[in-house]
Amino acid sequence: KNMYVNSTPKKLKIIDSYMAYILFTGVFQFAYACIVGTFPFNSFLAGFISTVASFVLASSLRMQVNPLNRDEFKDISPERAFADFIFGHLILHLVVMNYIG
Amino acid sequence: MKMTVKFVTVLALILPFIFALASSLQALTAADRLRLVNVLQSATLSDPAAVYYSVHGLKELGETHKSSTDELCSILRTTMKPDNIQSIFHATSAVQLLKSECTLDVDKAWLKEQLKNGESVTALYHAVATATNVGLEINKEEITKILEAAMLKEETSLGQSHSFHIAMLLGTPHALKFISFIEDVAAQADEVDGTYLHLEGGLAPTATFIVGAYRLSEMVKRAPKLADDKVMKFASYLATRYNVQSVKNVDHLVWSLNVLSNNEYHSPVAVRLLTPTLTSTDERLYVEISDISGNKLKHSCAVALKSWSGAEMPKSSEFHYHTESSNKYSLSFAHTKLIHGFYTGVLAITPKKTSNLIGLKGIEFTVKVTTEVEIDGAQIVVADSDLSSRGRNVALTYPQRSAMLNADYTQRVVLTFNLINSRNRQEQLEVHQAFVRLSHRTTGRDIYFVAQQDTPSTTNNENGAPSTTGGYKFDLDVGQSAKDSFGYLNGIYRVELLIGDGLISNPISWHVLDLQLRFPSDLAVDEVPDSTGDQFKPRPAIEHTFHEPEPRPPVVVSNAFTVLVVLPLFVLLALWGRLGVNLTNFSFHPVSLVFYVCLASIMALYSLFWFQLDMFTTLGYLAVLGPLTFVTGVKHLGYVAKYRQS
Repeated sequence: KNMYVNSTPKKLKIIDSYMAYILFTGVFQFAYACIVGTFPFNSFLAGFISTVASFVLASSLRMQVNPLNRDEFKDISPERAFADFIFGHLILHLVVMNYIG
Repeated sequence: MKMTVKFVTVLALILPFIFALASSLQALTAADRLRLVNVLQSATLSDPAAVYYSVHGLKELGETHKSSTDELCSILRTTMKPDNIQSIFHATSAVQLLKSECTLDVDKAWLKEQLKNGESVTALYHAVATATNVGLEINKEEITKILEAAMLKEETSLGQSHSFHIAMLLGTPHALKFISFIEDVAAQADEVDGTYLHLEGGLAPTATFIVGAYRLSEMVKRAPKLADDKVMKFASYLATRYNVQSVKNVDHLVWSLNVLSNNEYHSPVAVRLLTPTLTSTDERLYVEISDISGNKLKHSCAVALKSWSGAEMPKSSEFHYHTESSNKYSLSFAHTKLIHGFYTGVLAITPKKTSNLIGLKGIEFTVKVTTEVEIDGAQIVVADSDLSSRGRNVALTYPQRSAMLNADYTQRVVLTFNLINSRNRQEQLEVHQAFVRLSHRTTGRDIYFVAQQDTPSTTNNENGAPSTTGGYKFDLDVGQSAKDSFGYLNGIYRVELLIGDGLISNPISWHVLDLQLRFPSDLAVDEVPDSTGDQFKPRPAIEHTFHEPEPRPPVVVSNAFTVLVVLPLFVLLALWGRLGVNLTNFSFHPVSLVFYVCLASIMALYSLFWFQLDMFTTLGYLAVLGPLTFVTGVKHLGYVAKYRQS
């Protein structure tokens, strides 16, 4: 645990905490659906998929921004990664809002 | 069940008549003729056409119109249209037929103009006939030329047939030019079922053609080039039109029937089977031959049976001619084995001298021979369901009724009987209907059962009757049929045996005995609610139940989870605070500001989308905001990148 706290750059920790937040939000939504049932199913799916997709986008941002992966992502600057992240979110939220009903 | 019984019985009654009409020309009956006369006499005389058709048709039938000539004349005067050549034609022709002094106002100069009209043969015919009626001279050469030109253009069968009528008015030698058209017009006729021929347009063109073709041929003394079978098919078509209702059709029908009965060249022979059913006591088959109008043939003929589907041909295949009834011929089947069944035969007619009769060969007919059935060896017994013990067999004799029997739900009732042919007591019959009907005495409820044959046959002999048959059995397991057939209704039931078939002439309905049935006391009923009128009473009202909404969780739970889901956000903010998230490098560059504003507005748009907008308007706004966000975003991130690298 200390290795993580000490050696991880601040930027990445910010993203990690964001991802943890997304995770818990998704878990709580799922728990709610398990307890009270899935009606209305589309709303449950919209919420849950929103958290899942946000998690995925955040993780891809983290990968691309991580200095240790610089060799893999030579052509993609962190700003570019961030732009992709924003773009993905814009489309995701449009779809989620449509599906929430 | 009841409906089936009724239907089959009715069908058995109609079938003989259907068979009798197969494949022979049917003559006009006296009843038909009377009906046609009535139509013509009682027609509403609203225009010259109606008057003409009535008077002409009645004349063809040998009658006169019930109205006086003066009455008809005044009707013609008032209803004739002076500018319509067809109206004038009908009016003047009616006057000619009535042989009256009735004067009609016809503009002769205008009529002369109509005679030059080569547009349609029918119109030309009306003009020429009217001219003849009023005594106006016609230029025969000119008319012939106009008619020849018009025939080249004429497309309707009616028009082409009218050319023969014009030709008759022109007389020889001009008429000779048009006899070749007879074959041409006949070739255009439509054939139906290989049996009927008619011209397009139905009765009026066909009748006009027949009258025109034959009368013109007689005038020029040349036989029309019409094959015998073609003429028979035209005649068969006319025979299907005996039930016409309008004056025009009736007139055309009787006009053409008269020509077919009285012309020099072809005279179709009509044959009617007078005995479509022969019973066991009949020995003679009767047929009637006549011309198509029902009149006696002009030439005496011999009728012979050419083929017969029975096992034996009758001793003499020549029909005996009944001089006293003039049209009737009969064939004796005495000394011939006539087993019950359906038989088909073919007749041929031979005139004693050469004649113009046609339709003499291949006249098919079907005859049904019936027999009488007898019930033999009938017995009834009440036994236990598993047949462990039986009661005494009770012998039954038709038509007596036996003593009442009792049966309860643990027992079965078995009725056995044989059906034998009265004429041939060794033969057992198989019938279409062998029903046992149980009717409850007090409520009248009927239940029908079918009596099964022990070894039913699957083949028919050559006469259409079943071969190899066995006895009949009716087996009622009271317990098993208690619910479905009886509805647990206790009481006394009348047991009737019903025997029926198309080939037996004595259907049987025999009240065999009364049967008291007892059903288990906990289920049995004594009265059945009268349900016969139920389908006419109002049905129970249907209350519509709307779709029940799904059960929702209690509000407390939902609210609790809402809070729970939002909670991680605060945790995140706390974490970010701890990590040292800062806004020190927040750029206040205008482009960046626009970028932030655009992002925020897109989020606001999405929330608005959820609450009230629809996809199309949202996409519309997005189409504006999107590119803006993109452009400003690129610029902004460019600055950030530059800042980071510096």
